[in-house]
Amino acid sequence: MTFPIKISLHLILFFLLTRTVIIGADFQELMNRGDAAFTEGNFQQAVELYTQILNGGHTSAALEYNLGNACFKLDQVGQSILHLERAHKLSPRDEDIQFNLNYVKLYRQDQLDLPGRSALVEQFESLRRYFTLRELALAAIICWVLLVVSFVIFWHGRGKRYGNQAFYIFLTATTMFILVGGWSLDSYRLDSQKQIVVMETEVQIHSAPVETSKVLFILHEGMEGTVKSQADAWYEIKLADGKTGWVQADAVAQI
Amino acid sequence: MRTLALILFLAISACTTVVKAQQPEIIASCDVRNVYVGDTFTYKVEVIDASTTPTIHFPSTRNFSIVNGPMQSSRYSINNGVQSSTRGVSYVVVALEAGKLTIPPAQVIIKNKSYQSNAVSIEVLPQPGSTTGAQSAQSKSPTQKNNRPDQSSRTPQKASPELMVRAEPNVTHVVVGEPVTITYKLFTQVRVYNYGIDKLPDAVGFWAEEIEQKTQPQLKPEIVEGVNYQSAVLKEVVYYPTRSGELTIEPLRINFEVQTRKQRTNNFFNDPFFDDVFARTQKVLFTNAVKLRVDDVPKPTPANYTGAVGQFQLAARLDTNVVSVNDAVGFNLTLQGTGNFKTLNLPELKLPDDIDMFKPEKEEKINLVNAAYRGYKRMTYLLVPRKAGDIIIPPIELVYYDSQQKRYRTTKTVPIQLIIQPVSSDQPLVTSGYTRKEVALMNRDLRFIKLQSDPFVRIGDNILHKSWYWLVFVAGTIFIIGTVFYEQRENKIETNQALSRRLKAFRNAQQLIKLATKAGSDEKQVYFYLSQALVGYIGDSLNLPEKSLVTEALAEAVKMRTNNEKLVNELHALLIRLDRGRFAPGADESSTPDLIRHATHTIQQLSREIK
Repeated sequence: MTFPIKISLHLILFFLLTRTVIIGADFQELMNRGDAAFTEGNFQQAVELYTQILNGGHTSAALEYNLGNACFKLDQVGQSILHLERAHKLSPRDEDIQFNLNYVKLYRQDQLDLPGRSALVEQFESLRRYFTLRELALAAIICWVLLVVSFVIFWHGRGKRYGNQAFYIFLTATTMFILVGGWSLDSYRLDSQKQIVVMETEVQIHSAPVETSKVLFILHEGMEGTVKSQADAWYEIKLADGKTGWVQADAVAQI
Repeated sequence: MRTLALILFLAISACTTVVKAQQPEIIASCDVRNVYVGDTFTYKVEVIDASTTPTIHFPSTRNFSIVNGPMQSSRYSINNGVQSSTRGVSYVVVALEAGKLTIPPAQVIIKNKSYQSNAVSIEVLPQPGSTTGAQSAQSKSPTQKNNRPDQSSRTPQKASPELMVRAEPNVTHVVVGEPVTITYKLFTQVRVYNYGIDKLPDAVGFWAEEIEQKTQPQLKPEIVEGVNYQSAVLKEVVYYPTRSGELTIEPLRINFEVQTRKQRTNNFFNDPFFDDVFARTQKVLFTNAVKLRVDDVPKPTPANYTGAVGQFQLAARLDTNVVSVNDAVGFNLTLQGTGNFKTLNLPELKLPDDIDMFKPEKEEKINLVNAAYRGYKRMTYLLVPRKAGDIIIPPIELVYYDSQQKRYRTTKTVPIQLIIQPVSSDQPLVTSGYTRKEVALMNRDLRFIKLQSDPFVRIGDNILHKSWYWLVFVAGTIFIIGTVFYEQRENKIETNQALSRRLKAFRNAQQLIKLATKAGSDEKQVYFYLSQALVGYIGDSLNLPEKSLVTEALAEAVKMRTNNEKLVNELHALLIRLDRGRFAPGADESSTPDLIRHATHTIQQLSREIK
């Protein structure tokens, strides 16, 4: 009867360890060379080396963070914010990433007047992004396994002492599973929301996805927004202060 | 050749007359003969015996304006057995000018053919008491309404000085860029239920900005030329002239729904209890046009003039004059005064390269005081000096046109000295008392890169898109369901003895045969175990009581369950052999392994035969 558990445990281990280790070996060298170039102050070369790894289809929080820093040194505020945001998404609790992201944001031209939010809401929002989707999903799986095992023990030992004890574990595991599962779905929804960063020095935000439509306002490099909808090569974006408008897709990059 | 052309011409004109003769009957009419300026009436175009609804283009005329419509109508009637149908389109129209006016023929399109209706003439009377055509600010006592020229029951409802709107500018003589506030006010003596403004009037040469009305218009008593009115501000608009000259802001059109008294008729039911004395009537009023004289700012304009008009004062201030290197200091630039703040930008701050300047925070507080914008605009820069030394922040200038003194003036800040001290390691950081969240970041640089890389992941990898992830959940569900079924089956077996014996029969027999194999050379033991295995198996499978487990009875029981005579006979012989072997060892000459194989074979056969 332990067959499925064994299989899934093996699968988890396989996917968690083997794949990352095999891939890691190929890119670690590029990464080291990039770090060395950065340390020597050769930022352009560092950016090229880091970008090679990204072009190879792989990423990591440290890579995005280093690349973001290098871009900032080259005065590319938009690129820098893009990569630091990606790093933040990969590793939301990293203080260095948060610090540099806030720092770089000071250098962009647009500063929004955000309505003040209460400390409680602020805390809730930061808690919501405290774990990555991966962490939450794995926690959900652990809760699930605990739920299944405790249920089996409880069912087998109904009326006996160990059965009753297993029932409490089962109840706890179920509650945890629902909470963590819901949280992962929320995190998934957050992750699937398309976020963009303005990459051009100045970009016009139109009232409709047509070149000739009225220009509502102008955004500068590094400004962020959420994509509400898409039409051909246009995004309808919404800023943090609630303004919306259409922007050409090639003027922005997706986080 | 000429005769040919003449003939052709005659033929064509004859054709057109034929076509004209076939033209459907089109009648344009108005529901009244005479109206007052600003009152609404219905203009109707009807086509008799039309099969489809015609498309009608309202004649373009400057004297009338459509308030509502087009509204389609159709009517069927049978007169002396002759059926006729009429389709029509009607508009609610308002007359804009007084005089004997004509609504030109309307273009009517029926089945891709164009026709014209008749022209309709209508007499538009000036508002009672008013001498100018348009609704003017003059008023009349309502008692005069009895002298009004038309008292027929079909006349427009009381067109009245009971209700009027006015546009009141705060100034009439301005320079380019100087704001003019126009207040649109309502004066009424009747109850107004509702009003609506479609759009702001045309104002060529102006940039308009509406002032949001915070509350619903409040009625206040006001006396205009000796007559009591209730007045209310409906709208306030600020106009910024963008060019010079005699400019006009066109009248604003406002639709009203007002209470009017119904005409009394000698109706039997004309009883105040049964009849509503008041009715709601739609009215359209126009304000007066506003003429403004806009002067250009005097030439030549100073080089750095950016269009500021009013009275301004520029001030700059540093939080502290002594700072350390890398220490943040706030710099305030405030423009205070009265004038066209909304279209105005503060002058740029230019500083030496050794000072980092962050994007300024903008703050403005501008109020409309006595129809003029008054307040301040402030930029707060955050400066972070990177090198020690003394710096003079140069004066900042703003050139503006003083609309009162009628000349250009310059307001400038005084130069400010900033002493930047080098940082010594033991000197504590002095912050300038700034609470902005950025201050925490100011005297630091970007944090250094990470030299320890975390594992690489595939871009766009999503754990929830992996099949193994969901497989774990499926497996767990199967596991739970499996457990429940397994436990249920175990329970069932425990409570049902016959079933329990039958399920255990083969396993028990196998164990006994294993024991027999182990016993090996001890023949007596082998015979005993084999006998036990066979007897036990049959007894368990058929759920036989303990006392009937004797050779004959067993053979008999098996015989009842199977048709295989040969198997029964073999079983019988084997049981006898085993019995004999147990009690008289050595009698049987076959070897024990053969016997074990034989017994196993028999049990297997039995398991297939008796179910």
